[in-house]
Amino acid sequence: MIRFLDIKSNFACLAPRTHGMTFVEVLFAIAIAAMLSVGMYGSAIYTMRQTARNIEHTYALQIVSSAAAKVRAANFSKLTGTTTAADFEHQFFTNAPVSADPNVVNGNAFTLGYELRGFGTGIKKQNKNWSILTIPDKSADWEKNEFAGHVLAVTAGKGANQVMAITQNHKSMVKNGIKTVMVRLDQTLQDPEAGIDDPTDATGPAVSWTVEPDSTSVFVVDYGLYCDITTTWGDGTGYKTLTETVYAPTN
Amino acid sequence: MLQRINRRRGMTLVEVMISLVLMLLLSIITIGGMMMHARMARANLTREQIAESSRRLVSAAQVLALDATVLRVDAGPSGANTVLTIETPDPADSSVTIIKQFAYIDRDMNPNTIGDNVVVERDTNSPGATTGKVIMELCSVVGTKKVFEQPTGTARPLININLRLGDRTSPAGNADNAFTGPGYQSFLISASVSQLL
Repeated sequence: MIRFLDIKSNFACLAPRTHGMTFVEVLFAIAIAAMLSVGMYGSAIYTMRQTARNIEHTYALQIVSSAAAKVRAANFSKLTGTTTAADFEHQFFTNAPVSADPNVVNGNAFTLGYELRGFGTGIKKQNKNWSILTIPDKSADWEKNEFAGHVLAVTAGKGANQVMAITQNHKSMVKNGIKTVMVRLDQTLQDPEAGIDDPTDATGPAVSWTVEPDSTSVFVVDYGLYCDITTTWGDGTGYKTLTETVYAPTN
Repeated sequence: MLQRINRRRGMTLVEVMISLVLMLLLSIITIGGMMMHARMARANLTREQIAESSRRLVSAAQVLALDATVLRVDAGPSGANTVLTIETPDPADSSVTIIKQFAYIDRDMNPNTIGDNVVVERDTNSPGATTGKVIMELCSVVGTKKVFEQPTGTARPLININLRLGDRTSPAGNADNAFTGPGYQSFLISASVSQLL
């Protein structure tokens, strides 16, 4: 008898199950189902948030591309000069909040900002290759070699209607309250990489202006200017930025 | 040991009732969640479609406007400032002009119904026509703003586009929900287009 029971207990797991689930088993199954249900809710909420983010991104694209259209339509002289509040161009010198959809309560506010660069007044010869350009305080900084390979055109003042190629440029700097940038100019466009990155170096062909520019010379890059348009929205981990650079020609 | 092995009884009535109540609650939560999921999926899809439809119109107008020689606003069948005309030179033959018109049409001239409001595009200069390929539906005028507006004081022609797609209010009214479905599904087009040169 004892031997029989031992065998039965050893093979109990293989015997056909003849009773229902225990209460603990039922609770365990319900707990698993509850966890799946929570996962499903989480998935639905995540999808909703992601859709909202996609819509916000589409709004941001619309805001940036529309701002680019406005910059292109602006009066060049007012973009590079002074404006009053009544001017269309005045909006480009203020960081204004933009409401994507006023109907959406607590919706994200978008902030729109503009940074103009690629123009100025004043060209001073440093040596036979390098010149110092004076750019307005309100204009954006030039990054190193940002305009290498571009064209510098003098549009007004002394030496107007002359064009030079920028083969290299240094990062802009402020000295004695004046923002300047050092550029290496050439009559013809050369490979920027082949140039010499030393402002004291005066080897190579000298820049030969027909009329030497001075502090009154108004210059532009590529017969226009460049504007970085940035829109930001959200906060914390949801903070987003979208940037587009637009070229605005002289008009 | 022997008692545990030879147990043959099922759950007690209390255990069964507790299990049933728990399963009932879980079923309600799960089915409710599935229904909510389905509603949200439908609403999300509608929102994405509305946003994409808006982006297509704005993007098409902006790309065309860059090369445009003429960018103007005309009166259409639904009133003044409802037709945007863009003329661009034909790349194959610069003496030939390609015309693209976008027209907002309120078919019943009733601003309170959005079901019959469309934006059509066509390749002919016929501002008064109601024909064209429908590229946007369920759109409406934004308050008192002009659909296509040309501001002054700019060096080049600039056109502002003001349209709303989908629900006009939040929360959405029944009249709009009949077309867009429950919930607030809307996209505000507040865009600008201009020429490059």
